[in-house]
Amino acid sequence: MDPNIIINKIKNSGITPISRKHFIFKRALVIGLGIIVTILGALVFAKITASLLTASWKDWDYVFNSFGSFVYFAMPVSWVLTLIAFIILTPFILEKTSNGYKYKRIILILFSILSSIILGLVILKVGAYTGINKFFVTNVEKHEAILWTKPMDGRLSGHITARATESLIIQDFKGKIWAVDISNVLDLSKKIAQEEENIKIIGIEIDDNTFLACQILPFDVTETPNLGHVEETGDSSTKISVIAKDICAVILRNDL
Amino acid sequence: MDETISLNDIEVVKKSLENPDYFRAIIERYNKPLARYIKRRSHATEHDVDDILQEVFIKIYRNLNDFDERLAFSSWVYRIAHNHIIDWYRKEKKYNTIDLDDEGSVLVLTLAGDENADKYSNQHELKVEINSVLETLDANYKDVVILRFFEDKTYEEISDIMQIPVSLVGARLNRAKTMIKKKLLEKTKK
Repeated sequence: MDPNIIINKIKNSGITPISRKHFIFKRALVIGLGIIVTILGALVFAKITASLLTASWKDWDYVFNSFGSFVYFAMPVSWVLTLIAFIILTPFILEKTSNGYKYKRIILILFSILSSIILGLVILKVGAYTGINKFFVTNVEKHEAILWTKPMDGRLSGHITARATESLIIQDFKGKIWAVDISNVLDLSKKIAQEEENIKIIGIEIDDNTFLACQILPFDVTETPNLGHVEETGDSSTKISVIAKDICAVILRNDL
Repeated sequence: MDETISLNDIEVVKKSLENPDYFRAIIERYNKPLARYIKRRSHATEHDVDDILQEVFIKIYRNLNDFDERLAFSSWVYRIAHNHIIDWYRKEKKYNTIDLDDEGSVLVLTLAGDENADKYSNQHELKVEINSVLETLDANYKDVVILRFFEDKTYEEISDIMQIPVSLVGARLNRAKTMIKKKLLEKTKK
């Protein structure tokens, strides 16, 4: 081919080299995307780790039928899937960097996993997770809210809208307003009721809008305080109500 | 532009960015090897080869600012040609084929292996067989074979051109050679 044909075409068509800035921006975009995905992966890892660390490992049997169902509950499945997605996505982004193709995909995947774990642990360690977590509407919280909005089974949770010495008004996570009798709870529970915004309550549903509290827990602490030994009786699915009623019975009896 | 004779590729690239006339030196240096590579890599007609070549050189010129000096310029040029051929196949919806020409004669023996080479009365016959065997290979294997045996590229250069790890180049090359030898052996047994 005659080089003049190409040179003339370049000149006549006004073809010019694409600017350096364009390529720098393109590279920066890929690297930036890689960094963002890695940080998101680390945050998700931190989220999963925090969820597992704060799960009620000691007292799972108060609420769950089996250890398996507790682990399933404690494991934020959608976050795990999100983490897997980030881990898979990162190597594809890294491959687009100028030297990324030189490494085997398995190496890039391992790098992605390790960077998510290390950065995730750093986030947990420096406490940055707590602040960042506020941006997340987590599955755990959703699960918790559902699990703790079963007044028939002796569980209620929600946001305190009004406080009195012997009672509370709460709005549960479905938006329903409840009058909660706290006259029978221990001092620790009363203290929690005074200090916390969102709470979990173990007790008895008196009627459609009234709940008798026997134990109050802060909502964001999944570690259930030791409620003492309760004999396992009957169907485990109704265990919580049995426990709640037992606790209530003990408290009421003591009070009387 | 005789002054370009003493300049290396990177220096010519820098001058081409200021004045397109310097790009003539790049075209002159890579015209023949790229035309040969395009021809080998495709069953394009002479006319198509010229068109592809022209498009490749314009693409090279347009992307001169993207050239990373850590890379060999020839690898970068081949990479653009390689990617352009793949695009061309997609655009033209043509079957991804290759063409062994006479220059590949000696290397044909390497690909065939001694046990196969002895069974063919002449090299032309062997080359025709290798051609037909290569047609059956996946494009990824054909690429490494052409770049290694016909373009005389090192593993590192092939890695840079195809943008795959060096270890994968080696693995594909070994696999391709094994497949070629096995298929040739099957053919001679028939």
